[in-house]
Amino acid sequence: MHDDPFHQELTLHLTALRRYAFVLTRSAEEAEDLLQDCLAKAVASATQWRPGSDLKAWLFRILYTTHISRRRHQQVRQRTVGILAEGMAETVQPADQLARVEAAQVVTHLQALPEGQRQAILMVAVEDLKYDEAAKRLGIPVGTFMSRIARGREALRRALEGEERSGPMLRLLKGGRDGR
Amino acid sequence: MADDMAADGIEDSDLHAFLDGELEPAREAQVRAWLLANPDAHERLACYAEQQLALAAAAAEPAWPTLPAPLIQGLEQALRRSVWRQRLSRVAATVLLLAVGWGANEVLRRPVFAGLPDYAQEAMDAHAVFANDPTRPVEIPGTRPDDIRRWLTTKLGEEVTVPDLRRMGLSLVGARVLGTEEGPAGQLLYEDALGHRMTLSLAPDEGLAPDSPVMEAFHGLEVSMWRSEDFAVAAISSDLPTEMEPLILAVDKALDTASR
Repeated sequence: MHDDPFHQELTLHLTALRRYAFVLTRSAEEAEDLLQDCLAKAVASATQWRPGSDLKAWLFRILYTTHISRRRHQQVRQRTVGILAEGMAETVQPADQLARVEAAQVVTHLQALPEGQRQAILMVAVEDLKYDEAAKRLGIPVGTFMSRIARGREALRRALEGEERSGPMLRLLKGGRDGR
Repeated sequence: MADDMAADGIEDSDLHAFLDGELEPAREAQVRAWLLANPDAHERLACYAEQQLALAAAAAEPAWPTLPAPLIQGLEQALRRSVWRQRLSRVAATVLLLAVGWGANEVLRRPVFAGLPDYAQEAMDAHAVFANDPTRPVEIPGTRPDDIRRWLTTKLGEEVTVPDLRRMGLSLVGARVLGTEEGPAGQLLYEDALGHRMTLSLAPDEGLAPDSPVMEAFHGLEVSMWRSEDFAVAAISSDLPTEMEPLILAVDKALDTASR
């Protein structure tokens, strides 16, 4: 049963999935939970994957949506009000946004990055290239490539953090900057 | 933080390389151990990981946002592809969006379920998390309806009578209160003889609800929304064939009784 292309290919990507699950969560236990959730979903919808298409991308999409969903559920649990609580519970966080809105924000801010940083990030995230292969294609030293990735990701992180803090109105005004 | 990193021999580039699977196993193990001991850096790396996932997903999924498509076009595409379209005609969809007073811009900033009011989305999340929770689905059990009535009235700031849905074959499992951005919302959990459950959510601001009742399907859940006296109501269920009219009548009757 596990000789089929799906299961065989799946094992190739387990290491990478596990590594991402570790980075995304706060404990080894949570990481393992996330990974198992993700794999269960992947196996359950295995018939939807077309052999020959990009299984790694497919698996990582499932990991992303599983992660977002778990995070949302954790936030909902935190907002339930105990009957002994005086007055209102915290509800500190703004409403969590599901994966598509997050993706839209990331894409928006990516466009505002300098081209070198933008390219570096996309080559790894979308083209799934290794550093030396990507650097070679761009005709730059690996060290330069790595520094562009680091600076680009950090710039994105700050921009997205700023997104969270400012109100909805400002968010609408932020888009539309020309890429530099 | 930079000082800690240098002292431990870990550089910022190591963190990125770790995420991208570029490190030799020995080095990877070192960085992993270091991350466990440095939650701030771990958190920062988690942000980078989420960026990567978002970009990879956006690039591969035709239904996901691709920029810079015009906002309106994007909304129409999303509506065409979503489950929504199976239940609501295009005209009715537009009417609903306008009825809840949202412009296209605002709707686009909402999560996946474009057009669903926040209070209904909160109710869906509560249903997903609590309805079939084996340990503690409710705070006060249905065997204490007076306690539930008093508690909800206090928390929600409006007189509440617990709707009696026994004519619909539904008994009360119990109640919970959720804190949301709009304020607290009461969640009443009902179930039928087979254990299929429905969440009835009461948000004490009727203005949040659509002008006329709507029933929609989202990802296997049936969501009914309507405006009652003093409350925006949402009913969420999955395996329960819910007749909207009797449900609305029963709930409105209870809430109306309470407010008199």
